[in-house]
Amino acid sequence: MPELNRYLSRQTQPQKMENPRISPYRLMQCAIQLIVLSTFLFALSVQAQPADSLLLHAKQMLRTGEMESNTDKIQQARVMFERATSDDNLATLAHYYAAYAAHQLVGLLSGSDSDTPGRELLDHIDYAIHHLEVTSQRDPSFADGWALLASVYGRKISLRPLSGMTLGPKSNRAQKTAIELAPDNPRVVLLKAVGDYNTPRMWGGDKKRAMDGFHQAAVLYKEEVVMDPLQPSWGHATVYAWLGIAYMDENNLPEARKALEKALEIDPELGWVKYGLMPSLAQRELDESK
Amino acid sequence: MSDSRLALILWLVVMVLLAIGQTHDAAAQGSTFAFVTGDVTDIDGLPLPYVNVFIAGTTDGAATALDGRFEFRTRHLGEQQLRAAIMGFENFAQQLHLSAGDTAAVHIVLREALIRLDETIVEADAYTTGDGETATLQSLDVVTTAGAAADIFRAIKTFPGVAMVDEGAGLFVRGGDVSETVILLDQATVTHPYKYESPTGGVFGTIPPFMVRGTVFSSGGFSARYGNALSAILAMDSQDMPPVHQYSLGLGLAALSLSANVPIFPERLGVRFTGNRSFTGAMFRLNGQKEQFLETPRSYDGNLSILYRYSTTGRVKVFNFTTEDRVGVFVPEPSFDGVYRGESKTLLHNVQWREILGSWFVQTSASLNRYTARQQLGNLDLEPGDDTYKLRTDAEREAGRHTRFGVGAEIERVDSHFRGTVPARDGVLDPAADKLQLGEKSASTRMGLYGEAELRPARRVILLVGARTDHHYQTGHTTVEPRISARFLVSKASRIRLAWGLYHQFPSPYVSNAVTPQDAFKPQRARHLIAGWHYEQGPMTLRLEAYDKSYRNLTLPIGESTYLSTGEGEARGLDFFAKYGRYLETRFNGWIAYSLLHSRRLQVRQTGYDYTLEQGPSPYDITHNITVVCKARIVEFLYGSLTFRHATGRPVTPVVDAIPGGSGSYFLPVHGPPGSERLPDFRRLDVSANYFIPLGAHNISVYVSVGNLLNRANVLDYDYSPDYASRTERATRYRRFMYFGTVFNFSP
Repeated sequence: MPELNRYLSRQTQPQKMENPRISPYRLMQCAIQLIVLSTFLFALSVQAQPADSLLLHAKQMLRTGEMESNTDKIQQARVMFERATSDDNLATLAHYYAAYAAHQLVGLLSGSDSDTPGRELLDHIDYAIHHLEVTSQRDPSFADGWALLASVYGRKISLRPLSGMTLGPKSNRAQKTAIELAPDNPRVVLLKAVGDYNTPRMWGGDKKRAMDGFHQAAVLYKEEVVMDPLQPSWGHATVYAWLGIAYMDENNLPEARKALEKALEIDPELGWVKYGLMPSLAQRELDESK
Repeated sequence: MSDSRLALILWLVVMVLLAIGQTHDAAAQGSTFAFVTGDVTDIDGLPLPYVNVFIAGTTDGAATALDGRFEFRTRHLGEQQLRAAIMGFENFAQQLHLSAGDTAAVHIVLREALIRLDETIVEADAYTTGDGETATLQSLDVVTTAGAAADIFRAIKTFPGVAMVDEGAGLFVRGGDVSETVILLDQATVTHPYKYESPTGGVFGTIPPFMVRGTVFSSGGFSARYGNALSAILAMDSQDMPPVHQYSLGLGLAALSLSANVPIFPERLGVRFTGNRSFTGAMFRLNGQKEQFLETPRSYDGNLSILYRYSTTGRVKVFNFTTEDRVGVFVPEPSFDGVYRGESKTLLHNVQWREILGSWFVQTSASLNRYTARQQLGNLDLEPGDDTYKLRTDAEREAGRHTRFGVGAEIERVDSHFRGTVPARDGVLDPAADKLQLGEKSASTRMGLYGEAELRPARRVILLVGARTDHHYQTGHTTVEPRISARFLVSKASRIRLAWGLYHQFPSPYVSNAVTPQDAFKPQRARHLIAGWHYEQGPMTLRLEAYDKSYRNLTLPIGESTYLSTGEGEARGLDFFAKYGRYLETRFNGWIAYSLLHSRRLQVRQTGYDYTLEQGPSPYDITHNITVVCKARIVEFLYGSLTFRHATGRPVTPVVDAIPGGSGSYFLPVHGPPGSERLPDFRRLDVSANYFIPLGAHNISVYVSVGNLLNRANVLDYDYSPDYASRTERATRYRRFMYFGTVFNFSP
């Protein structure tokens, strides 16, 4: 199904550019095709699926949710990942993705205009911690799991500062393990840089170090080739989004624009950048020009 | 590409895919698939989205949509279990018989989870400290509470039910004596848990707070797993495997401390060390109180824990602790002005093993607790000591979603001795007065067994039913103690608790001697009856608990060396606890604890050479006991704390007359009715401030505290003139009192 989506995407985009005028007949034809397609996709969705296709389906759902900043789709994906944990061969990845989905939900729900209660955020964080701890127990050599676990611990500390006494060392240890296992894994480098960026200086954060980390991660993403579609491959556009944020904080708006445009070049539909950061940057540029 | 070619290709692709889909569909309709469809709601009928509905043991299932509906198909036919799960709700399971081509329609109602998964009934009924979400006080709360002096016992004294009998750390719970509260650490009994021991406990607890991961303090109605305790239990868990290297250095006005947490092989082998040395001379000099000491209090303690995790489920913890203290203080006595000198040394070695064996979680500990001391005052010169050996094992297993079983056994032997001299007449300590030469040795061996079950007979009812039996070898007595506790979950935020049980405690081996041998004693007995209400919503916690206790066979001292086993008494009262906020997380946090107590006991009344037994208010009958703790973030990283305590003065037995004794060089008191007078009310205000300086991975904490800010001369007892003709108030040694220090935490 992802292949089908990509195919349709490739086929329909140029069409719009070559012939912007569409006849009523063609519109009707496309509508019928879409109805038929939707029916087919629904049929697929209710079918019993082997775990790997379930995982791929969930990844696609998660990606759509991220692109649209759609918590509903991310939740649906989270449940699918949870279901895939019953397959022993893919359980490690399924636990990891279930946690990653919860992590992304926390990111969306904890925005400045969110009224999500802290208890609900903590439930999602505890859910992610549980699944990542299972991930690291099942496969202690899975660097992506350790890196995300360190990041999720950090999220919890930000909501429950007292938990820093016990989770702070755990977070450091998880991060250290991830770096030892895979120093060139771009997600490991990215999550460490995000941690450095968000942690106050007095608690060990360092924006300069974070910036270096973002740049290093950007290079690593360019070199990364993920052959197995089940393995984690997220973050390439995200790293430029973070660079954009960092440049905006430094009031370096031209560099911020370059970074955000690069993010959209990699992932044109990334909702966080498209609907959040870009308009924000545009407003800042407008304010600057006045 | 032309418009018509694109349309054709797209159409063909869709048709091919549709054909494949229909083939699948046809096959399903034929014989290989069954459909499961339905919806999920809560008990109010509101649809629940994102519920994971699936066939157990498979990946077949679906997430519910926003309207709560779901639909999926499965190849797993025949008898199957349908499950539904989502955070915050109880899991659902239902057997389905699925036939090929059929559709099973299911309506699922999920009930909100009323208790968190990590909440156990033992903890839920008690006051806890630690870093868990359900802890009553966070670990940092313990060390930042003004007046608690970073001491676990003193922090627990801010809970309701613990009476302010004096300014020490002794835990007098709900009308009980300090000896009726049993202290455990990693299953081992801490037989001498106080520094600078006194009849009312001691000045501080021996166990430093940062060695402890969490505590459970139950002021009554505790479960059958805890034995040989009449009133209360304080169970502590020492710290677990150190996750990273951490070191700290603390320097205060009267103490120097060091700690090191070293993961030798991360997650496998780790070591924790703490060491404290106290030297109070400078502190008492600064506060103008050095002259009352011949030798200012000094102590040291050291702990070395070794933790080894040999598998994902198995762990061994070796805990070694030693503490030594000494003090020399001027003490005005009725017949002379004396000096009290005291010194003591405590050792605790404990090996604890944890493992999952089959479906049982098993914990076993073997411990040795060694105590030696010397106490000198006038003609009293005693050297008591004891060795306590204990072996304990607890096993617990879950049977189903709502049932848990626990069983355990323990054997404890105390070899005690004391030698020296004691006054021949109670309280007559004049060096010239008659004294008795003592040299006693005794042993006390107890074996206990218990079993308990946590059941959920109805969704809102949780029962903890248990029983234990203990046998004391020297007295030949066997006790049987049924205990039951029920919780009714009114809502997610509120619950009601009822508890009833019998509790026994064998007399301390120190009370037996040639005059009253051990077999003269019966096991002391208490009956607890408790009804309570607990409410917790957001940052607010409320607790209200009423209790009624009756005592039998209490040990009664007649003079210095004779004891009876016929004491009786009662205690009833009301405890209230209200807490708001969390330290560091809310700008303000704090709690109020109020206890109302009525307690009477049979007591000894001395009338010159004679003794009579009479009922009266117990020496710990503190009618009103209120503690208010407030904490606030003043500015970023600067936190202030204030603790105010008010307690009704404790009952005292007045001396109403005296008769000459012996050659006439001393007098024997004639007591009034037991507990017929009270000391003046106790009031005290303590304040403290902590300034935290983060330095990346390291940090420095600076603290300053002022104890007894109002400089109130709280009266702790009465002292009589040698002929008992006049009495004076013995006021606290701790008038307005300043302390400060700093701690540097280093994490490489």
